[in-house]
Amino acid sequence: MVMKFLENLRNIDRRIMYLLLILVISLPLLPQFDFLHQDLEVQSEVRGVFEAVENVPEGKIAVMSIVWGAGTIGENRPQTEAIARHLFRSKVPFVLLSWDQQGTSLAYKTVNTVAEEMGAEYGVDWFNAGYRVPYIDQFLQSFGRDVPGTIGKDFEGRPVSSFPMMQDIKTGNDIGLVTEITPSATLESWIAFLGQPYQVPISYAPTAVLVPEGYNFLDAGQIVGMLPGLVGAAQYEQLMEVRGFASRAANALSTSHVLIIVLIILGNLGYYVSRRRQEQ
Amino acid sequence: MVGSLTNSLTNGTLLAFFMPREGAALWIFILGSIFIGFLFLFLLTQVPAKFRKPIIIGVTFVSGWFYFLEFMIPRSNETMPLRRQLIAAEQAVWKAQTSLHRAIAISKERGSNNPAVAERIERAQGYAGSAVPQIGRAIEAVKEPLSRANTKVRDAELARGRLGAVSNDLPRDKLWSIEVADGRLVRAGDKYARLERAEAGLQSALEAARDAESILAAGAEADVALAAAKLGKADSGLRLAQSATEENFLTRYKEPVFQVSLVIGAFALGLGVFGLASMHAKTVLRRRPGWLNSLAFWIAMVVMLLAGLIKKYGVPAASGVRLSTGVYDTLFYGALAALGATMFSLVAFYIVSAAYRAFRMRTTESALMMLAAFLVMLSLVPVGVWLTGGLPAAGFWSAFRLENIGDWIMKFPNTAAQRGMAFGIGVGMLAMAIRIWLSLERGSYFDKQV
Repeated sequence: MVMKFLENLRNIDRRIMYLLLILVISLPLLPQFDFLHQDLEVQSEVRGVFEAVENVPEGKIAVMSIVWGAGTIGENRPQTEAIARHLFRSKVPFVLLSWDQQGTSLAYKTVNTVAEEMGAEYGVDWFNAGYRVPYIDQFLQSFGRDVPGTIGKDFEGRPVSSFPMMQDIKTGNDIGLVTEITPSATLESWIAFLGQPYQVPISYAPTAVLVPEGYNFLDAGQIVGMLPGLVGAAQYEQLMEVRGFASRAANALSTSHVLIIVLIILGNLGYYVSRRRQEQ
Repeated sequence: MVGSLTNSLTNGTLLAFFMPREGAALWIFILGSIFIGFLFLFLLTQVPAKFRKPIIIGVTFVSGWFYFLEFMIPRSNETMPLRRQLIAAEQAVWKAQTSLHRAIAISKERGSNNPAVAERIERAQGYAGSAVPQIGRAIEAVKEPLSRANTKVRDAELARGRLGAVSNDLPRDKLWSIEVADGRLVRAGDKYARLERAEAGLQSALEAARDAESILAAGAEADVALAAAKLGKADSGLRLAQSATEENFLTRYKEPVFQVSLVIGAFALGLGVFGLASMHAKTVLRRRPGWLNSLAFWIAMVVMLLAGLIKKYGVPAASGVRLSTGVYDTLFYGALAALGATMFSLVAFYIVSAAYRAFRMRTTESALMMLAAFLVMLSLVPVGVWLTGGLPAAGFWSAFRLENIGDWIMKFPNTAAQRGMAFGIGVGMLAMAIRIWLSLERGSYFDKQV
């Protein structure tokens, strides 16, 4: 009877697994489950991004490159929110550049909400360059040589020169940090056309699936830091002593990882028992 | 004719074609371009099928040549002496930087009193010392092209001034001459500005290199990190100067070629929308299976298009907010974004199901992979930190904390494997790029007779 039960663990009904996943993801997001909160160990790469924001020289701007859309909103929006909050807090003016049609509005809404919350002023503390057609290589070659000329206008068609924060910004030498928030492999272009020629520090905020690739650039010193997916955003919030969505979602991530591990163990247990019985 | 085209290409006269236009000239240009575009497409449809593929191959090949030649053709001779000095200065700065980085690393590993540290600092001082006169010579080398560029700007200004102001009653050839003169003036000004930037970069590099040299003169007591930062600044200045010298006669066409590729891309987007819309329209009209889905596509496209247009051009309400903003936002954030996120979130369910079914310990390799996956998954989440939180944060046992194990796996075995893959992918991409450029690759494009 017990052996039969253990053997059946090989083939758990997928509907049960889906139901369990829904529960372990949604329940920790509720305030009643806040007791699950556990401090994270902040990774050195996350600290690298934090320090890069803190060390942007006065008179230089940061660039936040948005490649994400609705599909990866769960991971990339908390990253965008955390970095924007830090840039506002550190009084580092930044330009929002978007390469995704949906991401343009989604990132604008995210940053605008943070800006309103922190009393930041559009045109002085931040600037939205809007959607750019995705010829990133060609765009960045021009961007480094002539920032205002390449951007031209903001997302509502107002000329760059009319915004105070853009008055003294001419070339890539006036950029103090680039943060690439992305679910795609677009980092190389920033490194090749802005990071290396103008010695601009590049930070990287990819979705979790891209994180393994990011360690190459980190190890080579081509990026100064990385926010690995949603966990990276949660660690960043912890560094800023803010408890936002990412911190709550980290609990959900934790429980879902545990569920996956438990399911794999159960599956292997069933597989082992079944193989033993076949051998007998 | 070929000679005239070559002359136009090398002296930059062709750039006038890409100059911004205004008023009637702009409209004529747009309408003319559309007409030529359609005429070109019409002529293509008239070409016998057997010649279409060679035409496409030829166009692809020629387009590839532009970027190939731009990369391969040597830069202008005018700035050659400057480039030579720049290369020498860059090498000296780079060697000084490398020596200092090594000194910092040795200092961390074996302590700052180690004799190797002082030796590296001394070596760096020597290199920084040789970089200073090299940069000085580069500054001398930039003066002559700068002066020549200045003369060219003045000549271009005079030539443009002689042609007078633009007016609608001027003859066509006169207008064309003005346009060409404007183009020459812009290019001369651009060149002068680049050389000026190069000089500024060199001055900044010289100052930084001198600072580094004087810091390093203190020997083993020197502030090595500060000196390395100064050398970094010198390197940035040299790079700025170098970027100003990297130009041949094709470089100036990179921007227009980019603009052309943007326009072609926009046409392709329009063509894609047209193709999609016509396909779904046919499905609806002929009531083919799944026509309701096609109808849903049409309704979604038209409603979203109207909501977007009314939001942008609609009449503002008394409060200043456009009447349709709510409709658009509901559709965009409430429907489109939510649907997109939902689609992607389904992956989580597949991952759980796939991990459960695929991760079976059938072999030693699969067991190792599963162990690594467990450790990395646990290291990234709070529960992992909690599990081994009892171990000390420093010392030998700290290496067994889950977050440190996960960190090690990602930074060492993972990076090594990723690099191996990156090399393989890079070589593969190069081979594929050459095959596409030479039209040797058979894909969906050539699977059917074009």
